[in-house]
Amino acid sequence: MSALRAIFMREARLAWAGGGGAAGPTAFFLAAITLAPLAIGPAADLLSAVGPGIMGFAALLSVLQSADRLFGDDHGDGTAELYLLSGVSPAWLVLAKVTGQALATLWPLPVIGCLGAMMYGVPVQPALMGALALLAAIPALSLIAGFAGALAAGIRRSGLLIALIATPMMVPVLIFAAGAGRSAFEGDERALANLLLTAAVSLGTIALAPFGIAAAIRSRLG
Amino acid sequence: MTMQSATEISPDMPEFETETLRVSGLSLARGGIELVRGFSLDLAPGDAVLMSGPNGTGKTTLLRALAGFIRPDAGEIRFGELPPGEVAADCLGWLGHADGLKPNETPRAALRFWADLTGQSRKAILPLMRAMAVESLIDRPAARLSRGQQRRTALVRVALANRPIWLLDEPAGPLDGGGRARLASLVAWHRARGGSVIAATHQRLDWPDARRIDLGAHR
Amino acid sequence: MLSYFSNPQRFDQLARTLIPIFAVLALGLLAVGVYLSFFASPPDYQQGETIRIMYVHVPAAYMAMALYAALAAASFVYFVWRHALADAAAEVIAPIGAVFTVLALFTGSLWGKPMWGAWWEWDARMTSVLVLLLVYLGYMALRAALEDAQQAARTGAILAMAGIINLVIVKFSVDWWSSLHQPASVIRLDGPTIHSSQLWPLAIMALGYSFLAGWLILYRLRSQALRRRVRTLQRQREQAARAREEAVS
Repeated sequence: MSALRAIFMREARLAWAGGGGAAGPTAFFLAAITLAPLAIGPAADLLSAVGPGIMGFAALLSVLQSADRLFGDDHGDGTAELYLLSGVSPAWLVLAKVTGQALATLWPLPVIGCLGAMMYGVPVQPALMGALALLAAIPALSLIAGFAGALAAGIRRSGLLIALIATPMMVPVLIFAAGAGRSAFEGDERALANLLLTAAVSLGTIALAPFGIAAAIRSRLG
Repeated sequence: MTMQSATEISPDMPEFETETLRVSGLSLARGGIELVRGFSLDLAPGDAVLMSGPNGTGKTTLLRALAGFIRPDAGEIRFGELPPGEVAADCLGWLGHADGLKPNETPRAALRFWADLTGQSRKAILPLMRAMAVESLIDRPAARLSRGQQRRTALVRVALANRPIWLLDEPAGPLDGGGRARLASLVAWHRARGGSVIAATHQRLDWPDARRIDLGAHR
Repeated sequence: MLSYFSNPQRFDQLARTLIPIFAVLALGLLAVGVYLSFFASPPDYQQGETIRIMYVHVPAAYMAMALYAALAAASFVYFVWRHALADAAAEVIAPIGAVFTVLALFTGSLWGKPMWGAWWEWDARMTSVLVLLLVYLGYMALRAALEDAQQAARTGAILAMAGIINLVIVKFSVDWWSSLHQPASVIRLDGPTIHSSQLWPLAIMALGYSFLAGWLILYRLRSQALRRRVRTLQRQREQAARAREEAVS
């Protein structure tokens, strides 16, 4: 257990010290939600209708934005080999790593998601629901990004490839997370169901993705 | 340049269980080309093997196969009774091409992490850093260390894991004369404890009674 | 059975026998199928002549999905038992499956224009097929980006297996997503009732597509095996030449 705590703490520390912590995803998220109304137009009813969806979409993109570094750096600097020879179960190890990284870099997403939705004219209650759904989506989003990143680790300009691989896998969690905010906004009673489905996808991803990531790391070393 | 004797390295580390390695009839191929054919090796506690050979003869591939990263086309690798996949993680000290350091991390933070991850005491870090003559750099981010200093730090990490069999890929690559001497005494200390070493190198390393294998002859 | 045919020579023999048979069956069935669908079957009472697009579209969508299942199965076989043939099959199936997926999307869009009044409607089925296309493209892009053949094989297999789990959840989520906003007048591509006069052309077209896919897969597997053998021979010759040079110097 102390091994997992060590890796969790290190990842969080490295993300703060070297990667600028949450700055990258935050800046990307803010840029995306600033640009969207400029493209869509200022009509208030239109913006409030698309607000919850834009928040989920922009959050997804900002998770993808840094996905190439999560396992790409380990692949390049020889850390991946050391992980596999550390004696710690690889699935637990990658889970601790992704969790540490996600907590250090992605925590602002629900906050920005909530404030951003309100800037788009979404009332407080559905905006909060959307933020809660984003929070529930973060495990799935970051683990899927990690899986794609581990598969494409060390490939030149892997960002594009990671986006292509991760996009179809992120479809369900995007549908449910954005759906929660959207349903809440439209007064649909399925908002809670969407939120629970988001959490369910995250739980399923937590159960499966670490094994996939571990297998991917191993296959890229062979 | 003074040669350090093995007894000068005295970190406070628990004893490890010694392990034997037996390789028989190993064949390895990369991209349709056979690199190693019919390679056999017995490594007992205290042994050291220096593998040489021109580039592309499969030195790295062989080390990676021993570590279990590559599946051999034929032959057997056994640590004691078991194949690499099942035990490698408990008995291997690994030094690859890359040093496994993060540019923004100091050796102190990195080595503490590796000690915690592999369940070793942090107390051995300073004595080992001293043995490799890098203790004054312990709080400098890895990006600001020279290639040789990074290599020395990585060697400290290998020793810190306290594993019986070391696999070292070009351990002396960027090391200067003093660094090579310190590497030699680190290896001597490890062998005196009952550990063994396999190193791939195209430099002339002076390790007492180390076996030399020319991989070019194994094709 | 797979281990029996993992012997390259035996596989080559089998492929050489099957390729012409599959070719004849595919062309014959497709000829009959096209005749039945376009000339010998009645127009639909609801959709009129546009029903004929369905005979091209539905089997294509079915092939797109079936081929992905085959790709994932081959990947599983490779991942567990390391049969080189299974990996070769996975590699060969992907672009063929992607082409059927594009055909399904294209014909679906053609069919959508008269039915929905728009070239593209975000209905659950079409969206799922679009996601399937992305999965195929991601798989092919990953393999293409990895130079080491063994890494491409293993990494691709992991992605393909993850893809099948993903597609099941995508299917569910997309159904859910479209049910949140269901326009009343959507006509489903596969109407609940299929008249027997429509069933025949549909079945024959589907069978024709299957043999076409089988033909293409075997053909490409064979040419790929030959290409691999040529490359290995070339490498071995280069290696021998280098060894001679070294011996001289």
